[in-house]
Amino acid sequence: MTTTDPSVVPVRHGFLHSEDEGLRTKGYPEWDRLRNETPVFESDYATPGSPQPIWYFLDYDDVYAILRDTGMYSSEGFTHPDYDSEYMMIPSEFDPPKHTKYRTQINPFFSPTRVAQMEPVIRSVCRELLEELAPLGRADVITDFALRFPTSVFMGMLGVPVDDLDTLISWVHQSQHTSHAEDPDGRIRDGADRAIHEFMGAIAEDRKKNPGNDIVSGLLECRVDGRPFNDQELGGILYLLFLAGLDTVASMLGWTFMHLAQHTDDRKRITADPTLSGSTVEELLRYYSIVSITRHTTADVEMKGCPIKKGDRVIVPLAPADRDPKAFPDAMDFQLDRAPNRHIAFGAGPHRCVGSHLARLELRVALEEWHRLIPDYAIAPEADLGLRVGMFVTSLQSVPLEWTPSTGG
Amino acid sequence: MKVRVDQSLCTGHARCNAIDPDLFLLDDVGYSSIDTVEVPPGLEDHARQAEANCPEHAISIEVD
Repeated sequence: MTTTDPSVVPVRHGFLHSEDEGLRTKGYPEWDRLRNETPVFESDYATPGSPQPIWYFLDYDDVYAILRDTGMYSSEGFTHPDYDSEYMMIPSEFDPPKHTKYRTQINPFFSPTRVAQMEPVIRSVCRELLEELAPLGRADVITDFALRFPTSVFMGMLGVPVDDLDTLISWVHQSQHTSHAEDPDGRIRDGADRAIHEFMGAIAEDRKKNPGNDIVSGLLECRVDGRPFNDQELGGILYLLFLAGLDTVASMLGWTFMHLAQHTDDRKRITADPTLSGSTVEELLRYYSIVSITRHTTADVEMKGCPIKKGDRVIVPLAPADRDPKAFPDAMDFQLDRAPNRHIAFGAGPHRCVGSHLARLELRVALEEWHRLIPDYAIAPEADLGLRVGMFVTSLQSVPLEWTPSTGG
Repeated sequence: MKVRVDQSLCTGHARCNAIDPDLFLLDDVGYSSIDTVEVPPGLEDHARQAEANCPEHAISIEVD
């Protein structure tokens, strides 16, 4: 028997994507190598809270199948896999049919029609931020734009002033960008999560007395089983919208401007023809899929030869799936007019990202407005982009850009 | 040519609607609201693009 025996599922000892040195230093090409060598593998990484093995699936077809099979691959408890937390993302952590009851209530707030109505406001928020940056000739995409833009949009949806912008951004950072090694007992992340819940809880209490046109007032009108959401449910929904909506778009904007700074031809094409922005967003989402999704099995199951036991963790990173050459012709070529582009950067199945239409709009508006004001730019010399592979989201911590400010007139 | 959307597979990506909003109608919250519809002449390519673009593999084409 050799190690290439196809009946033996390969084991990568101690592998966890968010702690892997290869992924941290090489990024997406490392996912490609892992997928090409071992499209399915087992890891014996374990923590006291999660002693079970972890099964990784990296091929598009397998990732797609697992995400659709919510009966076998459960989402319960995935938000805090390595420490106990009282905080829960709702309805992400519910499985159908319970999930469906909540999801149908939340869908209308993020429908394509509703999101399209927000475009003028979103564009003016974006323009305002960029008009401050353009004359400076330099900016860090992450701290000066990517975090501020979606957070400002979200605060508008909540109906709160942007005075607390920096505080909110710091909570996102602590909650989502703190590693297990930095925070083994979860104290830092739990503190940020508590602060987010208290902030949202205060808004909800106010809206109960003073309803408005904001999303919190809208959520208070929702009904499950004929009753309004209770405080814990409302807190879990707002917690999800807060983190999932801010961290992800910010991360995608980082990859977007890194790519376009490094690929002059692509940048010139979308600057000359902004109608390419929509398909460029789709290709960025495919080529730099940022999300990794964790599930656990509800029963013993054999999947691609893996003897998965009930309760084992299954991790499906979307990056290697969306860069899988078996699913995308010339998968390694970035084609900003790629068609078709059947990527699953927003997931697949019933948990498909509810904010996908809002995210797409924010990304497209950012591309259009940025290149209208700042068409030409480069990454600052000796920049350290600080790649961080999170349990959920892979992002850059800094994308410092430089350009020659327009003299106006 | 007919195009069919399997409602049990649609999860509201709305990529079909982005290709042709008149052919691929959505309900109020953004899920496909069509079952099987006749593709008007000249729009066959839109139907094929949508089939190939649907992340949930929910769209299929029947050629007469």
